[in-house]
Amino acid sequence: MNRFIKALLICAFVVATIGWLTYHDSSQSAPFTSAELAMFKSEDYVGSDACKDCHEDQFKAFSHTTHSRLSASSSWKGKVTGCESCHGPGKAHIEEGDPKKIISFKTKSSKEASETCLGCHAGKEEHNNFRRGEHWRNDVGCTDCHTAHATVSIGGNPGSNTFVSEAARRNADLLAANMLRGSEPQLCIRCHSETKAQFSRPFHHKVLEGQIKCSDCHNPHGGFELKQARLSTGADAGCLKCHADKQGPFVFEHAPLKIEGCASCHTPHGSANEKLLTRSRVRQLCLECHSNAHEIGAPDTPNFHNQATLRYQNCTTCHVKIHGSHVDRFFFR
Amino acid sequence: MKTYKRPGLLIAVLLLSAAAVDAQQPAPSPSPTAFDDNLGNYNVVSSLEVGVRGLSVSGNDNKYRSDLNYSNGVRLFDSSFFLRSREKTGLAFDEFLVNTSGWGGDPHGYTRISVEKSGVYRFDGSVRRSRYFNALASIANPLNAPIGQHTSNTRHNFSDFDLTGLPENRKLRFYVGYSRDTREGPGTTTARFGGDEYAIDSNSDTRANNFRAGIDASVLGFDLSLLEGARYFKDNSSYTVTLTNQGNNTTNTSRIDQLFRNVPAQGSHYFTRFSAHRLFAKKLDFTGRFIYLSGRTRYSFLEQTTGRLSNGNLALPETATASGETKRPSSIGDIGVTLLATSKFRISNTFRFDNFRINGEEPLLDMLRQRTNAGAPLATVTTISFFARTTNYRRFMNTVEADYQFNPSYSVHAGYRFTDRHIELANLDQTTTVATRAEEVDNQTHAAIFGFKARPVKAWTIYFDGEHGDADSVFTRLANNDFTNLRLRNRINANKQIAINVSFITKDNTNPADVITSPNVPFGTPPGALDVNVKSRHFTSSIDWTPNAKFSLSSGYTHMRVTSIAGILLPISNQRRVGESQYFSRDNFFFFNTFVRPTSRVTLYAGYHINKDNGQGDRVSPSNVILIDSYPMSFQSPEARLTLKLNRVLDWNVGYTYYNYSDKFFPIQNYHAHLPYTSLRIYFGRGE
Repeated sequence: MNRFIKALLICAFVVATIGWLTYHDSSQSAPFTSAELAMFKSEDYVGSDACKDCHEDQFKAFSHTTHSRLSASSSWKGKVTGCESCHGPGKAHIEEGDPKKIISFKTKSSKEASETCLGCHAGKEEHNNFRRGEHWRNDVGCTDCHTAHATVSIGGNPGSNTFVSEAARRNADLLAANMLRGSEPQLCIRCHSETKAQFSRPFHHKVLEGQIKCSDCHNPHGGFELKQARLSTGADAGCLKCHADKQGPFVFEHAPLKIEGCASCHTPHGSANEKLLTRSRVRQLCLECHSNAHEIGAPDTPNFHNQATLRYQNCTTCHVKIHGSHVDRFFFR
Repeated sequence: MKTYKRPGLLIAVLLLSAAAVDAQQPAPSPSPTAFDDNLGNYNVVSSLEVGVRGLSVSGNDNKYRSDLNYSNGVRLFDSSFFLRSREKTGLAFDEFLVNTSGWGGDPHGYTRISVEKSGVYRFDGSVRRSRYFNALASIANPLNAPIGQHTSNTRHNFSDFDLTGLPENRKLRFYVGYSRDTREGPGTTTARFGGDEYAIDSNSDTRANNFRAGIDASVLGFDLSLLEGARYFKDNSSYTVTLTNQGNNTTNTSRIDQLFRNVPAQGSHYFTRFSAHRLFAKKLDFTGRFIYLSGRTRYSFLEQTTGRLSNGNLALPETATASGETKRPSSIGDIGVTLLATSKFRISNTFRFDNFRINGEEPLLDMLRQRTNAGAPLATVTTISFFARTTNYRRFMNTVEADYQFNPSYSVHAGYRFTDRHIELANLDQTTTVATRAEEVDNQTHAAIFGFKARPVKAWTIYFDGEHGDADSVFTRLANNDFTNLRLRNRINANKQIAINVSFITKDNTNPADVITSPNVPFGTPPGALDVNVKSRHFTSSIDWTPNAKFSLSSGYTHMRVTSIAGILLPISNQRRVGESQYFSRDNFFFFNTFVRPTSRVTLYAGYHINKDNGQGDRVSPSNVILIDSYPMSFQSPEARLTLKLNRVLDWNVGYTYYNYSDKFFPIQNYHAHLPYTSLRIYFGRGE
């Protein structure tokens, strides 16, 4: 193990040194490559108003976004803002009417398009790991979910009165705030379509109903956690944000609570089983671990727990405080 | 059981709504994206749907409430209120948005608020409420009671408020936030006394307050972020028995006459999160993060029980007290580096270190004042015991990944993950004797990650990714999980009118459990007898078709299949026997949602979804050591809604939702629920 740590430290040092030597710009800057920046001259920029004549719809929608207001912010003084901050200088494009004289994202890959966004957005804690996230890895980019022009599209069609649907107005309004292409659960389900079935089972977190959003538990922009899960209270599992009574610490903790995680016993999206358990009868859930098949922590089921009798088949009748107890080593109270 | 609740009110509103329809004036078709109404310097777009819902439940009302819990009466179905500055910026705010849903008769309601003034602040707030009801049959032991002995009828409130100062500032940003969640309400749980188990009353009362404040700054090219936070948690739940309770075993001698238990606990968690990010020369993306969390719980415990013990003596009462504390410091450190080697090739390394230590102790004093059943006094029995627990956990995890973009249509990625974990457990149990136990384990895992994205034609995108290796799971099984997870997703956008999604997900998980030589394991148990094999298969297909503004159809089918076979040891008649735990799920999910607008004033919506889990099918257990488990059930809901546009600001809705639940367990929990509703939606800012 010491060798591993040493190797890691050496790697980190080498990487940091290379980074330091090659440093000449900060992470927040105009989203162009150095080569592109060098080619551009200040007189090539004409301002967003010049784009309006031909791109009226985009301009109108864009003018109400936070992007369009950056020019009024003192910290962005002297920086290129507006249409040209992403599409590059527009003078040649306007003068010649040549679509090749402006940066278009139609032919760019998701990662290339994302790099443009990350030029400004990478510095926020929420977005810091996008370049290492699952979406990045699978070539899902920013513009697959967001629209930089913020087309306000308030769905006017009626939908379910219990489920949030794409057409339901309640979430479509959020488009204006977060520049999303659709309401959040629908956006995620568009690719993660199996979750719709999971969230429709009798016991489920109320995602389709709109009360919980996917991003309450997952960070779609990546993160250090597996499954891009969020943490709560600094370093604890995201589940504990709402299920605060399970956070402890308890004198007697059921080991999976902090070590294996809640998903050892629960299926968070939805289940036919009560309390989102992975088994419908609790004894199977317990016996699958407490069966002498462990290295540590899970004691064997005692002999007197006669599984031929109903009394011992419902483990949590006695082991009530199964997540953790302050006062009983067997989780009785 | 059949319940009808306030049908008169529903009928009255229906009649009023019908009268309003009769008085309508013709109007052109709606175009809800326009911003026509102004409020001062702001455009306003708002809608509010209020109405009334009826409810009729036949069958098991407890199961209905546990699943759905929609009630009848007046309801604010949903509302949104959106103000946007007509100019680029407004005086106090540029945008103001409030969304609500589910207040009134719904079990789940929320209000979300977002207010933003560019360059100055952004405020996000949410208040959520859940009425959580659980009174289900105990399928594990249906003989105890018609419903399970763990029930609840609680109310959870969650609220989050976050204020960001200078949100778009490139150099400096501030954060302040507050969250609160509470849970309170009655329920039942179980307690042990005198060798028997008893259903007892509980009253949940927990609350947590969270505070956080942070700052983002750009210093020397680094994006730095510091967040400080605290959570204060209180649990004042109590447990009581006020009437004589004979327990689950009514034939034995023990009983509880009265019980009072209170375990007030106060927790505090303080955390610091620091992160740094920088893109060096547009080539090297670096992110580092460190989190330190200090958690502590202080508790006291008082339990008084009067009743009769299993030996026939009377407890007058038995009193148990304890107080102590538990601490859990933990820290997480992460470093992520991505080298953008070329415009097409990237390689990244992510390293994590996390550890925590839990230290807790319980000094317990138990005094049993007792008499014989005839009333003769007996000596008080005093028991003093002390328990302590320590858990140490440390893990390193390192992931190396690379991805290559051949062109905008094709990319591949591959990676490798390594973990090293060390866990120590130490116990001290001091009763009449002292027992100590110390265990520790180390384990390492290796996993390969791979995948690609392909767009063979413009309309068709394929995503494939997989992981193969092992995962650490020492507490659940002897050896690491060997797993293979594969995902294949297809998105077909033939044109702007049709989107088709087809996905296939497989997860294979094997736990090769070496049989430990132990007196607990029956002699001759063959190797592999305690292995676990879990396989899940998900197939999903869906289509969204919107040929024009007057019609749309969304439909899909999902098959979810889980087969889990786990070798277990079952104690039967004081002898452990090797057996199997088998679990099956064969869930079929189908849905469709459609709307049609035959005229400019009339819109029809219809939806249907069904989950049908066939569970274990016709499998029956051949012996009492083979446990076969599943939850075969059917849960379906058709829904229809008619919307009439009365005028520019008013729509009238009438709709009906039906739920049908059935399973095959005893006692029967099937139900049918009919939920008719009518409502008015009022618009501000709806264009013509």
